[in-house]
Amino acid sequence: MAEAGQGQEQDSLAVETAATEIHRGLPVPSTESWREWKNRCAVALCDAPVQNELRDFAAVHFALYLRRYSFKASASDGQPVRFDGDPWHLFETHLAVRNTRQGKKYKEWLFSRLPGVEQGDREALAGGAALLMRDVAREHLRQEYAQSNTISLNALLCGGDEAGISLEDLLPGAIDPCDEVALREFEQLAADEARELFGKMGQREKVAFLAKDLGISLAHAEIEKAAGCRKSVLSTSYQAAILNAAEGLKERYSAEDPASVRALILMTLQEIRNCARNWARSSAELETLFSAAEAS
Amino acid sequence: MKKLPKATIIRRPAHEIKALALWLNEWRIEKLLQDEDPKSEQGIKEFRLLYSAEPARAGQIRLLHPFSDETSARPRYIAVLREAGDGTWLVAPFGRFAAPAVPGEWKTGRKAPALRVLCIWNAREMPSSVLARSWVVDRMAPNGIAQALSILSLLSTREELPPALLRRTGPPLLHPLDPRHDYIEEERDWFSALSTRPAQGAPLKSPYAVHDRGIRSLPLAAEKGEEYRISKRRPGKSRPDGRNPGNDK
Repeated sequence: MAEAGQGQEQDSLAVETAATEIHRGLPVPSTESWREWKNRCAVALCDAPVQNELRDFAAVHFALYLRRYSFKASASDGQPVRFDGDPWHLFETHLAVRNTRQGKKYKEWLFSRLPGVEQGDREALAGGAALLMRDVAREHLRQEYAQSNTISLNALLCGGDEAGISLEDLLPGAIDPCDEVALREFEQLAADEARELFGKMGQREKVAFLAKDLGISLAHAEIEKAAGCRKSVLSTSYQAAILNAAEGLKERYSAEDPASVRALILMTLQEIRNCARNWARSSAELETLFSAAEAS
Repeated sequence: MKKLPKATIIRRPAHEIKALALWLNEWRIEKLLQDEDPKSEQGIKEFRLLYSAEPARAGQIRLLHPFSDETSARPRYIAVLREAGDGTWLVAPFGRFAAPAVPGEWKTGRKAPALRVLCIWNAREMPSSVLARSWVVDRMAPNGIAQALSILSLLSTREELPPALLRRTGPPLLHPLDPRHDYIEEERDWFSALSTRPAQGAPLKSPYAVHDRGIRSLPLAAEKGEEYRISKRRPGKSRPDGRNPGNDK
């Protein structure tokens, strides 16, 4: 493991070094080159020096995005990212909605961001085109490294290794609605579990569940005031409360069918929101949050 | 150890699981590619709006002018669904991903990456004055608009979509920690902020310089920052739509 970790660090260093080399020769096309491309519709119709400038710009930024992806994703998938084609071609084909002047209004969008001073124009064009190229890179990576066929149902997606969330947690099965007796028993069980879990929660967690139930942002001033903390802390508390609740239920019913436990977890989390709503209704202090929800 | 009642569990259809995996993969890539998208210090300047003044009509697909933080972060395309009265139009934005995120997102069947998914759940009324700040780029066929409106109607009454539409829409959003909640919040924020912009003619400030730092995301101490200058301000927390949360109201 130690060796693998060291190898990964060296790979990351190699990525950084490669980026450095490219950065030293960063091409930033002139405003006139961008204008020629805009007026002549496609890069292939531009003069050779302009073509070179724009293609270089696209190649460098595209490579950088692939490197950024590779650099950040190396911990999770470690796949090397390569592309031997023409990034400018991807740029033009990705952004046009139709192969007409009307379908290439993204060029108007790009030029409408200009401040109207030479140096500013050049930077604005480069900045805007780099933003566009990011979408192009995302699409390329999506096509090349689609994980739909390889992603495991129980692979953890977020929340950490010990109490993470998997694909099957996000889309659990449901109790057969025709099985009315079982459905009622599960609903009762979820309500009981929710009451117990909610009773053990602190003010922050309770307010966070209430905010979610009312559809108010955790950054709302009234919510932060009621919770006694800022949005970031509140959000962390909310996530931790959910993961703890799910983990507790998994442990408590560890001998049972995992699909049934996942269904119970989801029903319980929903019931916790109901608990939060009832709790807030009985508090004059929190009554203002209902009007905040109506106003937002 | 507690016992659960005996029950039959109906598993989610395989196409829903696959659809979610596809969407999550795009979201993951998006997050990995993102930078802080700072705004240049010299980026605030009043400017003249330039766009085509074609009147709004149902079925138009429009690209919004980069007149605001929200619309300069990336090209934003919208579909005009119908007239809503009092000088407003019901419009829905197109999403940036290939896979629909939730049941309110509909695969249009179009090949153009910017127009593959229509976010019907995010439809809202937009004043003509805001809508005018855009370019017409294409049109939707009448049956496309009818389908979009039918999905919107079913969403508002919380009815189940017909099977034919189910495979062209996203999987349900059930779990409170699903990353799609963040996505929904971001999309709702930018579009609702936009549809409440002041009327045409009000002075505007150009946020032209919202950009990706691109090559500078792996900076070096020895580098010179001559041509591709970026803000020296400390950037806010990264958001996919490129907005600075510090500017949120």
